Amino acid sequence: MKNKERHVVVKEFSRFQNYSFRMIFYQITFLLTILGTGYWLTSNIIKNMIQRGISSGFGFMIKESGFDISETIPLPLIEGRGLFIVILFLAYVLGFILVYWRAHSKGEKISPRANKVLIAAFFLIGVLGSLFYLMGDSIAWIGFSQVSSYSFAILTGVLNTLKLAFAGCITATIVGLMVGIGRLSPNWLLKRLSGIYVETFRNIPILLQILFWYFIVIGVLPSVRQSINFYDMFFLNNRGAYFPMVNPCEGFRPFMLVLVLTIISICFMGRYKKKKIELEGKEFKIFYPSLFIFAGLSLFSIMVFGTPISLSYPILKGFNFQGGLVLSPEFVAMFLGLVIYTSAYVAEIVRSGIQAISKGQIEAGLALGLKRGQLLRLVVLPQSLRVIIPPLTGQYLSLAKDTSLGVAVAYPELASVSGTIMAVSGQVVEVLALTMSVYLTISLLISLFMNWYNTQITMEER
Amino acid sequence: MNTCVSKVVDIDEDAIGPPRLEIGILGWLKSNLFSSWLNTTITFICLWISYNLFVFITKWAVIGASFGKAPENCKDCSGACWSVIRDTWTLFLMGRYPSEERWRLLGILFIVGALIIVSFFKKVRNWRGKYYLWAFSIIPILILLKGVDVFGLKVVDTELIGGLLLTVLLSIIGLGFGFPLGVLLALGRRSRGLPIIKWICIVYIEVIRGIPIVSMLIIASILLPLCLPSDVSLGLVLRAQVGIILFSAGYIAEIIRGGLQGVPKAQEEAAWSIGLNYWKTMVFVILPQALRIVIPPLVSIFITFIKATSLVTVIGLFDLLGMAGVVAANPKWLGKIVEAYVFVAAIYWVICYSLSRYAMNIEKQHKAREH
Repeated sequence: MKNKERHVVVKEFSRFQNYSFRMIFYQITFLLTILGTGYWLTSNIIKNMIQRGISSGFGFMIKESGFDISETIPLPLIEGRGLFIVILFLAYVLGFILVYWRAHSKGEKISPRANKVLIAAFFLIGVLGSLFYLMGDSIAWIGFSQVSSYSFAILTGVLNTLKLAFAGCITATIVGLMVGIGRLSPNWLLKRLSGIYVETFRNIPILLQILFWYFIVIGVLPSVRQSINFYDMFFLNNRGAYFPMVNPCEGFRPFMLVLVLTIISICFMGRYKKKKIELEGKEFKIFYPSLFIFAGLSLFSIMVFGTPISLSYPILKGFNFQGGLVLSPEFVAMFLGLVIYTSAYVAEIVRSGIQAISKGQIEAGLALGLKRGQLLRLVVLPQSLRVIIPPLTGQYLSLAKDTSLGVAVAYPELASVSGTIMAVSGQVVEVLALTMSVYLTISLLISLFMNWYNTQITMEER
Repeated sequence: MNTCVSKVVDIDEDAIGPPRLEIGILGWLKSNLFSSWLNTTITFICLWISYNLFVFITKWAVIGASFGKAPENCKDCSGACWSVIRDTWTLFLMGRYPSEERWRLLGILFIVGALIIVSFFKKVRNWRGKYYLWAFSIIPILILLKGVDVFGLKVVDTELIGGLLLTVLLSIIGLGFGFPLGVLLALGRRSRGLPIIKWICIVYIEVIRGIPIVSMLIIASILLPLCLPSDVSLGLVLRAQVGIILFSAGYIAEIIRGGLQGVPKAQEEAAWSIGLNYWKTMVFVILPQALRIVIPPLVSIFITFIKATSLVTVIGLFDLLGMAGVVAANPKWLGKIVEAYVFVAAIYWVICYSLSRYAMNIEKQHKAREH
């Protein structure tokens, strides 16, 4: 009777039948595997580095770099009185942000008291900012040179990356907006041309586009002596693009003060306008009054303190142009490549955003008697922005990351500067870790900002 | 007596028809190009731009171009020198793959073509094992490509593979291996009751998505050899491939996570209630539905990766884009880089454009099925 016996045997419970034990077991096994692999990799790295005679640690960061960077952005070296003002300024900015956040976390609407605090803080920042500018004499601006440290080199690379990313994002948005609207235009020809633009540049790798533009600038444009001349102001040759440069003069700082005052008065008038519409239903146009204030104040400042800015034109002296604003071929190529490639994507995003609005909304707006501009500003944009912002954030992120292609044309942004540092110092692991963390921080900051902006525009939803 | 008599003229309305400016070609022109002053201005500006573009391109690419095979043909032509392409097109397509072994590439094309044609038959389409068919075809393809001594095929050095062949290989293998990794990462990120695994997956995905692919390739080319014991050495192609696989896994994971979110929760609960365990639930119930949703974004990520593999040029590989530099550095064709770039761009464009059309078609079919 073997069968009977089998029935009697009580199956022992294994620990694996316990859910929480199983989960903990899996996780510990997984963690151990990861840690083990990590340990193996790190020990290999250490072994290899000892073999090659490379020391580890971030100590090399303060050493003299000994190489040159073709494009540097001067950084303020602050001393004495200036340092004090900067610390004060930063403290006020921090305080402002803190107050703002606390006011926001209390409720969805800002209480009137918090609003007053905000405005006071704004004033203080405005005043302090202009003070900072007025006392700017104690600040020395220094650029990267051979005697600077590796950390300064990294900082220069980061600044170049940010410069390119910032300029690229803004221009790509504007171009993309125009092409995207062009794709929806009633004009058949414009629609087709915009479509060709999008489909052409979206389907060609960005690196190829950058290299193409780089070669066009370097290889096809004429030499310095035969440079293409636009009205003796703009020059284009194989060493880059030359623009007239705005230089600050003696009247510059008072003029900055005028700008701050104008912005403050516009803020006040905006509040007044809102009040007037809410209470009396009357519209108060703020454009002309603010223009008047700005014109009056700036005229006063120019009469008393002299012109704020002067233009310096690029002039051919010897073998190269002097003065003016110079954009290197590398920058021009990177900028063109990034802007054209990204704007094709932005155009598609804008198009889908506008198409997402139901036709009834526009018809309802027209029926209410809104003008075209009002319709776009009050009905179309607020709704399409909600659709547009999330994918646009993705585009900004990829543009910021694509600046790393500067490696290919030797534009000294973060990736290519860190490549140079790796080659010169041999500190591969540290430099790579640093570069990656900088890129992660930039990505994080962009997504934080765009998420914040997104919440600002979706708040109105009911 | 003054009487106002209005004369009624009998008009046959059918004979006159609508105004001539409102119908036919003229009507189309009026409504699409000249409906208002602004519209007319835009039309003329666009006409001017497209005329100039057309003239410039035809002058450069056709009228002033030379189509001979020898470099001498290019001496006195004002436009493009297509002789470069005629002379070096094999380099662009397959790199320096030995010419006596090229029949093997034809064999690979034959296998892929046969698979595609077979897939058109309904019987195969409805057959469950079709994915295995595709998955296992990789083995003969790789054997043909690399060569194995056992079959009497000469082993080809991986560094000789280049051009379009390298681009396609890097992106297909990158996505092929990144896909299972991505699925696991996505499942890990959505897992419940496993916080450690979940967080490791989240950190991996977010780090990968936060860094540029150039950094990843530099890591793969410089850091990877440091991470391995000193007696193991990987070729540059293989290192780049590892980098692309690790990179694509992060992006695929996010796409699949989107698909997983699109599957109704009731599906999972139903699977649990009929007694399926976690893996059976996922493999037989959830993933098939999730993957069906994510086919279009997967195709677009494939397009992205075909374009992104061009970045391996930065670490010194000669893929399709890298070949343009190689050709233009050749003393015979010195400085003919614009032609090379245009040719390469055209190849990329054709591939990416047709794939994106394909993705759009699938999406349309899905939408049609939903309604």
